[in-house]
Amino acid sequence: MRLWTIGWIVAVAVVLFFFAAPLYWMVTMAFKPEIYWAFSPPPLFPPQTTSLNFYRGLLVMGGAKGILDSLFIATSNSLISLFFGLLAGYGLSRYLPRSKNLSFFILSQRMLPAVAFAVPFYLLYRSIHLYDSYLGIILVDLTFNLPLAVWMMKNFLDEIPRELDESAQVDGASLFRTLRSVVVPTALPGIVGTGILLFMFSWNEFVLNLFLTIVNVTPLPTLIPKFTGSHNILYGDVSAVALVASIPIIIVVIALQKQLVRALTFGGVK
Amino acid sequence: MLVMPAIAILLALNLFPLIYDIFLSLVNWQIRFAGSQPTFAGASNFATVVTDPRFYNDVGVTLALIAVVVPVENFLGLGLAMLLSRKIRGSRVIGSIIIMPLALSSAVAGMIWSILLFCSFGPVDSILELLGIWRTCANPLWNYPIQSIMVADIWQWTPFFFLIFLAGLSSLPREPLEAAQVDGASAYQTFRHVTLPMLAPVMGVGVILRMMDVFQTFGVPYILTGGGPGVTSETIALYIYRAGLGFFNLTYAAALALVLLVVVSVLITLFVRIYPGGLAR
Repeated sequence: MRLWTIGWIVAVAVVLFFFAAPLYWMVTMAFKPEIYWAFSPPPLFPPQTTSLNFYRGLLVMGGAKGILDSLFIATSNSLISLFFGLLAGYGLSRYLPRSKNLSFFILSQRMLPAVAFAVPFYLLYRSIHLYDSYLGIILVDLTFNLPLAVWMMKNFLDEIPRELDESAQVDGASLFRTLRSVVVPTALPGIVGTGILLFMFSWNEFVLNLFLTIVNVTPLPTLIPKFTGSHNILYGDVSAVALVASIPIIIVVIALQKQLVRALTFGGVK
Repeated sequence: MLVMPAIAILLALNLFPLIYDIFLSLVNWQIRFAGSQPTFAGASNFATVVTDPRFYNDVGVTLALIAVVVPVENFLGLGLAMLLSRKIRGSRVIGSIIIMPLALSSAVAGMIWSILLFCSFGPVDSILELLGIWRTCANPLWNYPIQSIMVADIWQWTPFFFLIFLAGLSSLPREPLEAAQVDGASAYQTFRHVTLPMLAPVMGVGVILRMMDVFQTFGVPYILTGGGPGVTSETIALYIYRAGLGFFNLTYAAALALVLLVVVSVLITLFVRIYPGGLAR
């Protein structure tokens, strides 16, 4: 029995090491002066620390702009998806309760490979001057976030009994009022959890960003390859940018972990 | 009604590209030369795809990725979720650490692993050398490109499975588990015959989502190996990108994209059909 528990503990420790070690490396790399980047074997702790990587990576190489661009795009997209997803989910949940096929059709839109959209959108955007624009990427990210939002909202709203809306409507509330004052507050945990998921998917989206932005709008996927020069790669700078980019996200994910898990169980135990 | 705006947006955003893709793949259009006009070319683009050895190479790479990465992430995430579903003291902190790779952008994750795996100053090399596993500077990015991509992907996406299994486990009804224990089932038996079947829908959804994402994985291979030495670790999505924005052969890229779309759709439909127990979610 003791051996079993020791085995588990070792396994967990190894796994934790696997997940945490690269993050530790990123942190130390961000503070390492350039001299130590190519040390072989690499030192565990940086012998000296410097903030030059942060300065150069964020301000000179456009890291700050990259992070802000990604943040802006992901947030806008999540909010727009949530808005339309909430409406559509409500419509599906209350007015079309037995529409399995429609729901599945909407969800299946999520499963289309993003690359398939890349070329058409590239050509289209170049003609209508949406190339390399914020609006362009926000719209394109809707292709996979909106279906997910609709589907999740529908499932969450299914959990909320209709009597709640009906009692509000009996009291004379209009549809919009019902939504605003009754439905949304009740479904808020689910909405927040879905929002986090949508944000993460948009934040992670790579191909479409690379295809459709280049200079004006530089989300992280477009920005990071620029740190690779012809003679050297600015490892420290990239790590600094990555570190700064990760902090808000990690804080959000850790703080809202409960909502996230809630969102994935659609409200929890029946 | 309320649903209309969302559906209208979806149709406009999703349907239009597919139609345009179909149009592009059926024409011959040298876009890189200004003023050239599209000329109908029938299925010649598709013929090129089917006879393209690089395409088959990429399909092989992508399939190899899926075959390894999805099961590993699935079972690793499941194991971790089971370990942490019991409320041991540090489980919240440990859970937070496990989730972190998922919060990073693919670009960032790829960059981190390219630093780690780089031969001369990556720690992975030094550690493995210390453990005596391999010789100096074995350069995993060059010699084992596909495996490197697998490791980076597993690192980033196991937390996804961990999350959904954690959620799934926490919403399982207690009665079957208690009944099994009353009947004297061992932990392993309870797991295999009670817990696992109840988790099957969740697992199915996770596997499908991940399978589709790995099929069109682009970020990690792009940053980590750029396609590998030559094209040994090039994925289909990478090829589409190269064909489209590299060679500027947009018609070919459209044809490739459509083929990918068909393959993915067929696979999903098949998978949903044969998945034991169906997908409740």
